[in-house]
Amino acid sequence: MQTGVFGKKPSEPIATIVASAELDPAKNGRSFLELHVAAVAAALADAGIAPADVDGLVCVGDMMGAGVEHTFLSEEIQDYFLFPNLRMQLGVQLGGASHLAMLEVAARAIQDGTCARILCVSAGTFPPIRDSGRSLMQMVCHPDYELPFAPSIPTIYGLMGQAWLDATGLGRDALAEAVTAQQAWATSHPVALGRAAGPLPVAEVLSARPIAGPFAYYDCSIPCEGGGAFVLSAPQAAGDFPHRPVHIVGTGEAHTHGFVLSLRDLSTTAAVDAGCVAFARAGRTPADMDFCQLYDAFSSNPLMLLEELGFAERGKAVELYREGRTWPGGDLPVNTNGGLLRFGHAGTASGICGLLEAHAQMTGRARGIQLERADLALVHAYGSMLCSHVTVILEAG
Amino acid sequence: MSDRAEEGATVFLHDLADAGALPRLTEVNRPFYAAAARGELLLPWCTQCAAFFFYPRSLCPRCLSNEVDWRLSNGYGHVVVAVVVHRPPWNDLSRPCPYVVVIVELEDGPRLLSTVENIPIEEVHAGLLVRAVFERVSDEQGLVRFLPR
Ligand SMILES: [Zn+2]
Repeated sequence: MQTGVFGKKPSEPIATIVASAELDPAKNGRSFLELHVAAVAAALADAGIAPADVDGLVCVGDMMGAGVEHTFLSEEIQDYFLFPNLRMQLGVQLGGASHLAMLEVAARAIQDGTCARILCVSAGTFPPIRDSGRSLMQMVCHPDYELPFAPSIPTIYGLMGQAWLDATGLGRDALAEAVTAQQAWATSHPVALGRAAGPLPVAEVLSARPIAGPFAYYDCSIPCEGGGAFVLSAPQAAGDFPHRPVHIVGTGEAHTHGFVLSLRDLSTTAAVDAGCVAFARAGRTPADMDFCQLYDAFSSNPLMLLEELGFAERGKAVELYREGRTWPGGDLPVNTNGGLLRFGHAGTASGICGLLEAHAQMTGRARGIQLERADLALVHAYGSMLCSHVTVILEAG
Repeated sequence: MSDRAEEGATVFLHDLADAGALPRLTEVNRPFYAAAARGELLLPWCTQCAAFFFYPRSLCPRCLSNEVDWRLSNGYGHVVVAVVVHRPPWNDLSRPCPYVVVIVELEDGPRLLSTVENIPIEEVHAGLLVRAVFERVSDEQGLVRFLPR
């Protein structure tokens, strides 16, 4: 069989997720370092290994203003646990896509033999949004040609979400379907932050107080603290660990812009290309997937991503929701912990949660609704203002 | 808040800019902002490509030529997409809210992110024809906003 441009046969594992741990989403005010320490300790315990067994450490650099003292976060973590045998240590920064980019970098280091067991960690807190609004917007806006016009983060996502609604002829009620479905998952999850709200009918989502463009209160994710960690190993060594191995069989990246004013087609993201590459590497198609975890800072995102990743025709993803296929009991579960919208958005750590939920499902340890069939999964995340996209295809061993 | 003017005349708006969110003037952006303070929309022009680009850069992002010149735009364009902002991005934003953030495509090609002013918010939508107006923040700095035409 040819290895092609991807350097591997389709479905041949690149590396294997052998352990993971997730912090409960919360609003407890724990420090940036404390959250990382808790995540690392829990993941080491889940893998049944000690710091000396770890030879790679990858983390995600602060992007929510945790402070200059965390500039060298990977070194802080190394020092806290005194990891003695690291052959690779790295901080990755790609916004909400950092965590899947971290997985890609670590998987390659496993594949090329640099490391045998890599610990990947990310934790964080979403800052008080409007108190720190100017600095938050300085991070994601062009300082000269966007910031002066006072867009909020929901405004920028709203420009892209509204462009997609304009292009498909759909209305806000389509977006509300995603919130309602994800709330159905969250109400069965013991620690999802949105669970207490109970069922959220479409009408209630639509009538919430408006935020920006097509987004009202429930169309926006719930800010919190949280995060977690996972351990990668070579596929051949996966039997050394207590859980069912979850192989990384395909990854793909694509990038369109840094600032929204440079995005020519506002109604389409780079997920189209990232997904194609990931599926080609995995030798799989959307129809093979048992479930999806799709990064969802706003309600438009899971709908757009389902279409761009090939699960529905343009403008038709909403039907997957209306037919109940993405709901508990459906044949294409999406965001089975409630997603960032209803589980919680842990700032710097946001993008790790979809991956950790996928791993929990595939190892039979979901804390909310456990899927009966969770052998093949797609996890997708994007960074900053829908700029950088990473798709990962997972296959249980 | 603003002076209505005859179609074609330069219009200046007032009291919309947030003092904490103004750009720092640099060699690269100074001609653009100085022109806007005078009531002119001056855009970077690549002499190699013979075309505008936006935003101002020290080189052309298409061909990497640093033979960058400046040319006036007539300021006419249309709204590509519009979003009404109901909750401001920071607590002490001085301008009235709600307001409408848009991406405008100029007849000259480039796209700008800005606001459309002096129109009921529910009337701003994709396709709306607009023209550039100016908010003079200082003698050296003006912001480019839009009015319906
Ligand atoms: Zn050029």
